[in-house]
Amino acid sequence: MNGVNKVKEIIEKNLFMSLATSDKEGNVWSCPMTFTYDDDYNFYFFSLLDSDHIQNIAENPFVSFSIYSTDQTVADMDGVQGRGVVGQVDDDELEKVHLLFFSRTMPNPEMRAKFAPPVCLFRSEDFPQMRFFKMSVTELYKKDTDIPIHRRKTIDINELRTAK
Amino acid sequence: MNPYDKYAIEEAVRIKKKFSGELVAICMGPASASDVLKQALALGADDAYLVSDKAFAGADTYATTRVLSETLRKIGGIDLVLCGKQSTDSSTSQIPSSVAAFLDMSAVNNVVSCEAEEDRIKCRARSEYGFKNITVGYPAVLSVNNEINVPKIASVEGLLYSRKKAVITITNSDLGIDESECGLNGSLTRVRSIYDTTSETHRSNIICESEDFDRLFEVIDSFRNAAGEKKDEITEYTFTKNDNRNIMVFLEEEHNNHKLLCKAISLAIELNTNIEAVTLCSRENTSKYTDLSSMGVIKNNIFISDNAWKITEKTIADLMIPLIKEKNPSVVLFDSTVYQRSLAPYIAVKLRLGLTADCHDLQIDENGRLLQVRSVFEGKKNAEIYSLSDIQITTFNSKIYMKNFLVKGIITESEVIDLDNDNISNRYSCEMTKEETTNFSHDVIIGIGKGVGSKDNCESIADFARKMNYGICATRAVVDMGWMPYSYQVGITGEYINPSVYVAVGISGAIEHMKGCESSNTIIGINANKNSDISRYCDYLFVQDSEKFIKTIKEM
Repeated sequence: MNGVNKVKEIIEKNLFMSLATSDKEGNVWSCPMTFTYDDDYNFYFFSLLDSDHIQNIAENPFVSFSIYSTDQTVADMDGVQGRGVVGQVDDDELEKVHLLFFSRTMPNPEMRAKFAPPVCLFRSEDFPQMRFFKMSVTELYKKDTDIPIHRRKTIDINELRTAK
Repeated sequence: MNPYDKYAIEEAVRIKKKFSGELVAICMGPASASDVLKQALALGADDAYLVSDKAFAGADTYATTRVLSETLRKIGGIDLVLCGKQSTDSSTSQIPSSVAAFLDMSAVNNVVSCEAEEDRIKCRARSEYGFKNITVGYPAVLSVNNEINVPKIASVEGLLYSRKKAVITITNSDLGIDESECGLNGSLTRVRSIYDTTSETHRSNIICESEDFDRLFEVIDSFRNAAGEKKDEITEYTFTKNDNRNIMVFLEEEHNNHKLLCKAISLAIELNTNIEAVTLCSRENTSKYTDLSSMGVIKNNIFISDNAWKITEKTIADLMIPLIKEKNPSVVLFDSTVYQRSLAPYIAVKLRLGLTADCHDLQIDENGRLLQVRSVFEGKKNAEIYSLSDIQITTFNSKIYMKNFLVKGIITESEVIDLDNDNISNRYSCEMTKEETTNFSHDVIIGIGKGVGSKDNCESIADFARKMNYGICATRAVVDMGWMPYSYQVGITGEYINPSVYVAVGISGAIEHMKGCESSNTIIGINANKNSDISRYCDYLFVQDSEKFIKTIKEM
């Protein structure tokens, strides 16, 4: 498979990413994140506004991320990594993102109806405030499996978006 | 960006969306302030203006107000100005009222919610004793506090917009202000000195390691009993009427004016002068203010109304201004209440007086001038400031003033002015809702800091305090986390307290908080770190985890 298809497969197969953030002073933080993505490979996740990673993002929206399966063998290991910029999802996109997220993470409609937090919670001003965030990818890489040493290769994001 | 400004921007974006208007962000500062304006663009501003010029350097509040007001005039077509409640350096909250005065706009301060309509805006504003619902027309200036909304974090689209959109710089040549009226030259106050605040630790600083909490409650009870009924020493003084320029004091109904008057007395003694008061009160309480002889008031101008609480700051200012011009006092003294922190800047701008706000000390210097001392840089430093204007005007935080006076030798002459005769009280739409104010009069108060770890733990401490008839308060960090309401906040941006015993649980000892409670008779700290800042302020420090304290009180 070419790199783009493999990247698609990795993204599709995994529900979690590792998200790295830092504040303005360069203090770093990493956390696992459940995510979803849209047709343009913008990624979405939700978090509490007072969480460390969101406080970092408020100061510095530039992040890096990695997505990989933990059930693969060392011999076959592969993964996606990249950089992006994160911002809060606007109110007028909230319903669409909410559906996108929970359709993927809770595909069973009955489960979703029962357990998915309602949309209104993501606009509520009651503490603690939960919000959706969008990551627009600026750089994307995967392991270069064509060479024996551990290097990455760049993936063209536009190619990713247009590939079938 | 000043955290309070984020609330202002968020509210502005919401109003803009409702009316499809245009939002501009303005910042006065050096070139580096462009970063803040870029943030404003990312958060939803359409345009951003940096007002920057070497000529503006050294500007005090008056000179800053002038520049900002001229900028607003230059941009033109402004219906609504939103500001954060206060800045992070001086925290005086003067600019919104001052700009409103300059531009003859309505002003509402401390707004906690608002609803904009086509021709007016309905605001709910926090007052000293509850909330006021005020409706004003456009153009208007609002200052908003952190209860008004939950600010958004910039969207990806906003970030992209901010990268493309240039910040527009406005210089003095665009504004056309004479250089003699800019910056330091145009300022009406001067800073005499700035110095570090050192904790005058007349405290025992006893460290109790490995002590259990039985000892804590023994200490609390012993100091509580020793303090007993607080007997404030009263100094008697005999005034004589003289022709020296008076000190004018504003008295606000429902506020404890006693401490402000005591401070006025102390100044009047030093200046060898008399005190004249301006009082705003409801008709039914007029008699409480007609005789203030024992508080040294030689003349009281009492403005009365059936609806005194409806009288806006602008209204009373318009009544006081001709009075001040006529009486020509040497000092005009206000208290640092919500109302008077809006009133004083308005008067200061209209009369072109140098105002210093939120002073915690007032002294007379060697030249007979009023030296005004206030905290700056979040309490880390003190500034000594004096007014260049002939009439010196200030707001004073009387809550921490401890001296008591009883004056003899003069009789108050009162003049009552009925505002209802001129229909003044009905000119503005204003309703007030009183809320139960937080009671800080307990002789033992427990202070709750971020170290307690959770909202649940705050509630456990509050339950315990209620059981023991202790009071409670909180640091700003606890309030910002949403664990306790703003009304419990103690510190330079909250209340000042002075109980017999103050127990600080999970409080690091940041100066901004300690300023609000350092007048307590005895301070006891509970903190796992014996080297934390709180240890400098304590008479006793129990080196224990807050969790252990909370576990202990739950079992009691």
